[in-house]
Amino acid sequence: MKKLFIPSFLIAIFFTACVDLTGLDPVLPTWSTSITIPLIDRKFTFADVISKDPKFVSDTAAGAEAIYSPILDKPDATIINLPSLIPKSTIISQKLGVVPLVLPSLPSIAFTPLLLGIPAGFVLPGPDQQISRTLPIIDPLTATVFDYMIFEQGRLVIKLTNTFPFDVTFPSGIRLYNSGDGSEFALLTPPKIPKNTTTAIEVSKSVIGKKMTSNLKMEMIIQTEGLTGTTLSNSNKLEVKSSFDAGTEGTTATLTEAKLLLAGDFDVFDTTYTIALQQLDDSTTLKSASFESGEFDIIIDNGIDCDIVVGFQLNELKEVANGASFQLKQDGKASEFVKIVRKTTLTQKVKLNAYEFRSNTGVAKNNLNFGIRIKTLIGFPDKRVISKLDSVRLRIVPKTKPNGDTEPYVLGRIVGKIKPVYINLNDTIDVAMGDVTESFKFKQIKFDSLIFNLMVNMSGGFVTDLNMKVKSLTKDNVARDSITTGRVRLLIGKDNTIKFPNVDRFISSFFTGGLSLPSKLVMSGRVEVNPIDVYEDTTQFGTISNNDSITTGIEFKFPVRLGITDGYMTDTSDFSGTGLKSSDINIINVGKIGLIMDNTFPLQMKVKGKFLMKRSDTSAVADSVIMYLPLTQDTILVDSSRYYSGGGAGKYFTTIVLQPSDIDLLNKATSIVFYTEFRTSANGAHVVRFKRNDTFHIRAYTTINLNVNKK
Amino acid sequence: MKIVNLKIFILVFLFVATNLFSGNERFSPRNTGMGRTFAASSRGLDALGLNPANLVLADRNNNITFHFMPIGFDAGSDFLDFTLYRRHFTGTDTGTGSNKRIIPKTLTPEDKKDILTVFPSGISNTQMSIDVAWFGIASQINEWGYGITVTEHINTNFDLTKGYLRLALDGLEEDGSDYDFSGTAVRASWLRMYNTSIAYRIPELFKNQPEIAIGLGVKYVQGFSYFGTQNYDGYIRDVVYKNPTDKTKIDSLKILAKVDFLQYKSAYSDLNQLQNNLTKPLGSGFGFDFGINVKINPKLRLGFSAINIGSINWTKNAQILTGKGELEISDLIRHGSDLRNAFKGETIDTTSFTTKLPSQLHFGVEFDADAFKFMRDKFWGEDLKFAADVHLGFNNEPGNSTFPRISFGLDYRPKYYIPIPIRMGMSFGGREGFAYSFGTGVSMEQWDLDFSTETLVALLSPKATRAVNFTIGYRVRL
Repeated sequence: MKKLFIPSFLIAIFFTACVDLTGLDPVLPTWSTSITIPLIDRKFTFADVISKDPKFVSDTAAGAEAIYSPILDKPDATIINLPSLIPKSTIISQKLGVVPLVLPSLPSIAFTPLLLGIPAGFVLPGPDQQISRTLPIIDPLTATVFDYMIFEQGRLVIKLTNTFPFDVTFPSGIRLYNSGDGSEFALLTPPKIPKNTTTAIEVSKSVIGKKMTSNLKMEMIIQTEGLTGTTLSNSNKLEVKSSFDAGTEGTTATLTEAKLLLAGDFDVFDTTYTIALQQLDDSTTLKSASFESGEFDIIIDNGIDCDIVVGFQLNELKEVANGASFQLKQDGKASEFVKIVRKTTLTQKVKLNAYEFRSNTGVAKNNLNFGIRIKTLIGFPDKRVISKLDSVRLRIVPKTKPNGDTEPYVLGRIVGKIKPVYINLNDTIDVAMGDVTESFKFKQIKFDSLIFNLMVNMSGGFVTDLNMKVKSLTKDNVARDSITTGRVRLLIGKDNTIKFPNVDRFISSFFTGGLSLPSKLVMSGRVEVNPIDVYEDTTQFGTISNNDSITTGIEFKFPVRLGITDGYMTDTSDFSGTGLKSSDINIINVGKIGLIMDNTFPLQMKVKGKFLMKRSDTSAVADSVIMYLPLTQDTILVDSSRYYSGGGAGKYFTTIVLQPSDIDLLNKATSIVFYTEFRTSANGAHVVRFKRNDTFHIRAYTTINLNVNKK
Repeated sequence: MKIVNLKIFILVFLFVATNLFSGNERFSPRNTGMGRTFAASSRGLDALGLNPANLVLADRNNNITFHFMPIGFDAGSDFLDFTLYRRHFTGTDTGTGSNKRIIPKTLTPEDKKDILTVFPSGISNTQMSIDVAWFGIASQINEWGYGITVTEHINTNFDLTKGYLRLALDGLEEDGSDYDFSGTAVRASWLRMYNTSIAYRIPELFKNQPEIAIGLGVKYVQGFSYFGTQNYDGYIRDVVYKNPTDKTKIDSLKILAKVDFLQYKSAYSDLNQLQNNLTKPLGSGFGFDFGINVKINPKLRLGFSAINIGSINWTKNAQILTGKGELEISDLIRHGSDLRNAFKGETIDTTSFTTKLPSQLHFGVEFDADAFKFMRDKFWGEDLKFAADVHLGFNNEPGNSTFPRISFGLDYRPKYYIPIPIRMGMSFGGREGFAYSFGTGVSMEQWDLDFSTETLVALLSPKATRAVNFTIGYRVRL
């Protein structure tokens, strides 16, 4: 190492000696420089206000007038609920009214000499004879058709013709009786039948309520008078003709009941439908209607001891799908007629949402017409008791809820007349004007051309009246004033703009003492659909759906034409000092702050600023003012060429010279506050128009001259 | 930054440097004395890590050479020369006699202009490097050459734009200012390389085949710190609008600023932490050296090498510093923090990033004066060689530059009884620009003590220098 150290040291000394290092200590020079930086550049344009607050609208032209037009939340539409129909059950019976049995023809009996047992061809020696005869009166074929019949209306008529040469009497009358039980059907007492009569002598007997069986027999005793000495020919006879009528000749007796067999179908000749009415509502009359819900059952009870075909009509219900009238369905087919087995019930359910109601006559009505008739009795091979009082019963039974109440028919859309519907409206609309009032204060503000309307739309086709009250609230929810529309009849299906009276008073109430703009509008009132005077007019009908609604809203706008007295606003920004340390302040030669302001608002403005230092002891204590801009604490007057009385240039320059001590003070600042006063001309008495391109532009810059490295 | 006493610094550095030994490009006195010309002309330890093919070439007939803890130091900048330093940064005398003292010079506008003219291309390049080889050995055995070394490389490149100095001197003027910071870059790294190289002389495969040697070097690289600017684009402008009707009044002004930068960082947080983790690298990787040396004829030898082909993956304390923004500020009170934050950027922890090694390509030619007929026996001495290189950097990683460099060198050894070699060189290009170099020493049979500097101007005319560069090394020969 020693060998190495010596030559190394020598070389080092050699080269060091070659270098002239005297006077080489570095001494940083000093120099002057300046720092010019923009401090503030705040542009307050009305266009910005408009763009940030959707409540302001205007067209896009730069000089367009600004309109404050808040898009207020529209309250939810109030749905109009149509009155539901509470139907009632209905029941009707259709009696058969006829017994499907033809009255049997009674035989005509001719008592010849042979039948009487009196010889003919010679003079009879006498005495007179009494001859008893009993004969079946129903022919055997007819007797197979029925067992019995009971007459409802009828008379048995017997016509007697005597061509014998002697008189004939019937001392015990002519008696018809049911041989089965011996009961008497009719007893006739003919008078003496004179001999050789050419005209029949008629006797009759009412058979009302009489029961006639198929084994009916006629029983009589024939008494001759004046027989002796007469000679009979074989053409002499006593003729007995029997028939039924209803009481007078040519009429037909009727039956109330019979036990019969029906070999073939029996068509009831009466095609008239028996009508049943189901009352839908006592105050709603309909020309047409659709239903949202509602059900009823059609129940037909066949009380006749045979199968029948009935006709059913409900023509006022049309199928939504195809417009066809309602028909009962059997075996999958719809038909006016359905077959019902004897002594059974046919039931069909009707869901009203599949049908529409249409008045057949075009006249508004409040009920449904159901029709029923018995068309045909289906033939049967065995004998059954059929009464004309047998009936078919039709029942219309609305669906019931579990608690037994009737489920209503809910209307969907109607053309007709409903009883007045009253709808209460209660809505609150937020019309808060943002935070304008947080920073913008004023003593008095005057509006011009203000619009405050109630917008109403009623989508239904019924006449509707409205009566609304609008109550205004301040931001503290203190009621300020209210206005009412009075009773207004709306235009149906159109937007209704209802102008409030006394709007100026209403809005002005906010600026008298409160100095705040409306925060909320509380709307309350009542809508009357189909008001009573229209309801009572039978010629007026309307159209309305269950989905129809009534929508309300407030139109609140005004061109920004204001007269402002002593308005002011403040704008605060954080400030973090100059960036220069206090120990470096002595390098500052001089500093200055330049303020440039442009004002095109139709306002006179006065501006001043102040630097604040936040108090560290407690936040409850106001921040300390370190420095004012200008230093004299005066305000800087910034007129505008649009200011009515001023007509100033609208651009102002001010330079504020700062000493190093001022710069040091600024280091303690934590915020800077700009305070701006506003006033329209004539101390707010004149209303001025605000435009989109109205601008207040304030710039501030600072120039600091420094001596760098100054000792 | 505090200004250190330059005089003390120089003295201390020289004293320390003379007790250290050097090798390789920066710490090879022979290489630096020849203007860092080595592609074809370096031998033995001088070729290790620069052209491994040269390891097989005879190094003054010594089979083994080795060195211990050599060091190379280089610091320089092109923006401030010594004359300028003395003119403006050493103060002015005031008073007389015992009251005589030196006070800061007050810069006039002309002085500011004088200072600002030193930025040749708008960007000043400043670099500093310390290269230490803890140990190195090279050997030639028959047709093979070997070399092993462990080296330490601390490199810093600092590119500063003229805009910064203009901003400091002129500030933000009332008539407006425009300062461009694009191109600003700070790149610094501390790498430790474990280099093993081998060279082989290809046997004669055909008649009149030139002597060809090839070499391969493998470097295991450890990284201990890295800071690298990948890109930096930015400006700051103070735009002043005057009142159209009164030009003396400012109507408005605004500051336009743009910044877009990306920087990688992997470093220990402080020196104590670094000191405690000298064996715990933050990143690692491999690098490869390839070399070839062709002896065309007795008087001409060509050399080619591609070195430091590889990369380092930094996996610890890896961070990305990035900032991007374009600002137009006319309200500093409201937006001043935006400006500060934009230039400050954002530091993002990341898992890793990869950087290239300072890869380079070298072409060289060496002439042996004995081979020239007109020179043979015409000069007094044992050996005289001329060499020239072209150096191309693939990247701008610390210690490297994509700006090409051309160097010329001369190595002269007088008679054996005067064991004092003379080396001279010139270098053009690169980050350092033009430089004369000079080297000398003592070349004994079993050891060498060499000294060189590329800042010959600093030694002979310190007032004109812009850089300080010394390389001193001691080598044992067996």
